[in-house]
Amino acid sequence: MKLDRKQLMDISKQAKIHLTERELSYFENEINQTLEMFKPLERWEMHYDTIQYDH
Amino acid sequence: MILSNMTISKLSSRLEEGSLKSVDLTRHYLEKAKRMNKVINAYIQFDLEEYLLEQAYKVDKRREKGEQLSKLAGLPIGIKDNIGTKRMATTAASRLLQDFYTGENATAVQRLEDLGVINLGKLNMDEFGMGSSNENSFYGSVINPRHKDYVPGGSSGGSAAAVAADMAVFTLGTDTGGSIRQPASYCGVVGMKPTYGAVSKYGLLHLAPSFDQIGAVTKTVEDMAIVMDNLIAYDPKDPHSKMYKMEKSFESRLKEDINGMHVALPKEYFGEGLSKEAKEAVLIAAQDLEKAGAKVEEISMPFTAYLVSVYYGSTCVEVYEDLMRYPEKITGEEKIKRRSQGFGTQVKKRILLGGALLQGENRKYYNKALEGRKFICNEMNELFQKYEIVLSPTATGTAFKFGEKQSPTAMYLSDIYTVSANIAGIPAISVPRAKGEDGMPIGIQLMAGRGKEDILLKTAYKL
Repeated sequence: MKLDRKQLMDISKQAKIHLTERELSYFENEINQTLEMFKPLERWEMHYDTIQYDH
Repeated sequence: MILSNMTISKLSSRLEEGSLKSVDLTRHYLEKAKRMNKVINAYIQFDLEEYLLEQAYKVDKRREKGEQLSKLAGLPIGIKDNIGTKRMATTAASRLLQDFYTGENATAVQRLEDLGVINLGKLNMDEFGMGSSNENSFYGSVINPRHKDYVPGGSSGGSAAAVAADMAVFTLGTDTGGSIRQPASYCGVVGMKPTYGAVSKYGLLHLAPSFDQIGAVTKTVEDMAIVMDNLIAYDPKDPHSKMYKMEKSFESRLKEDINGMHVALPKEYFGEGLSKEAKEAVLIAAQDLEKAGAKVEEISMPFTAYLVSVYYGSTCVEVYEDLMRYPEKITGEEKIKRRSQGFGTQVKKRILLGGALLQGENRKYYNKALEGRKFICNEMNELFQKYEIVLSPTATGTAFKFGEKQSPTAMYLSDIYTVSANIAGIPAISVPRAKGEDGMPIGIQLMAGRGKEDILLKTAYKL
């Protein structure tokens, strides 16, 4: 789920870090880009013993 | 007297026979390290020369009296700056901890000092261990000793560069997702992360406590075996410490044959993004292991595609929670002010990412990452019932140049070969094997089952 500016400000408050306007713009972009990386996890069905061996 | 680039075995033999004194060796390394540090920037701080020479003198006196000392006694080394030291500040290369003293040595440091090792100073790193290039240090970037235009890798960039430039006989580093092995590959040295809990982490400033592990960087696999023989031990102060029974030293087992050993080559590791030279280096290593009697077989690990998401999904939340305590003993507005000014961009980013993963809908990613970690651990344990070694690249290729900015996702994906060892808590080693078109070193990685450092080291010794 994409983070908006307000959510990021809430997170930074909880993390006890004050962010400048410039930092907010930067992290909003960077974190939303990185969150995309986790999307494939949603589709992952874990079936045990899926490693295929030669012998 | 030529002392450059000598291995632990050679130096300890010279010290043992009396043709070399630790005082002279320490003076040599300290002078060289200080001179080269003006370019390489591997050390953040050095201990006082008088103190170091006094320690070296004491080791020489013990030897003269005929005391049986460890092979490491009297050797000058360096310690990554997130590992606590009593005499020097432990900053984790962060502005926030510029004057932070742990008040005591980490157990790993104390073990080495008890053996008579001379700790020259604290080594540069990515702030709190966050980064793969050593560009995220408050104390400036470390330069790759193989070529000044290239990054040394990270986060243990100072540890790898110091060994590659012979500014220490060996160094301690920490590895949370490849932070020892990737810089070792980029700098052309040997880097090893032991089994989770094998080396005490007491006194370490954590990044992600369930992934972090103290390890070492050396010039050769034989040196690594000697260092691990002296570092691996149970520590009641560390709740994650494990007891290992070793009947023989790793060093004494290096020459054992590997006849009939099963080596796995995961086919998913050879996909898009891997350089031609790195691929060739692994395949040639596989042939060499076959010549030494091992059976190399291709396997498929379908979960490879999820490794990096599982790793970052889990570690960022640990970062968020673990770093909340800094700066210690400060509260209220002052704490917010110091954290805002003291943390660097990469650290802030991972803290915020950890916070984001605990929020609303995003929490499903964190939960899935935790579930995925258990799954991968089980699958890897199963794998090591059938194979003794997994062979792979350490990194996608050679070191990249300073300023070659990558997207955050591309930067994270470059950790794909190394994170599985941290997710599963298994030992892994990177050994230099080839050079890329740019002339920079390429390492290959070997992984073994939990507590199987003996198998890992004797196999790596064949390469």
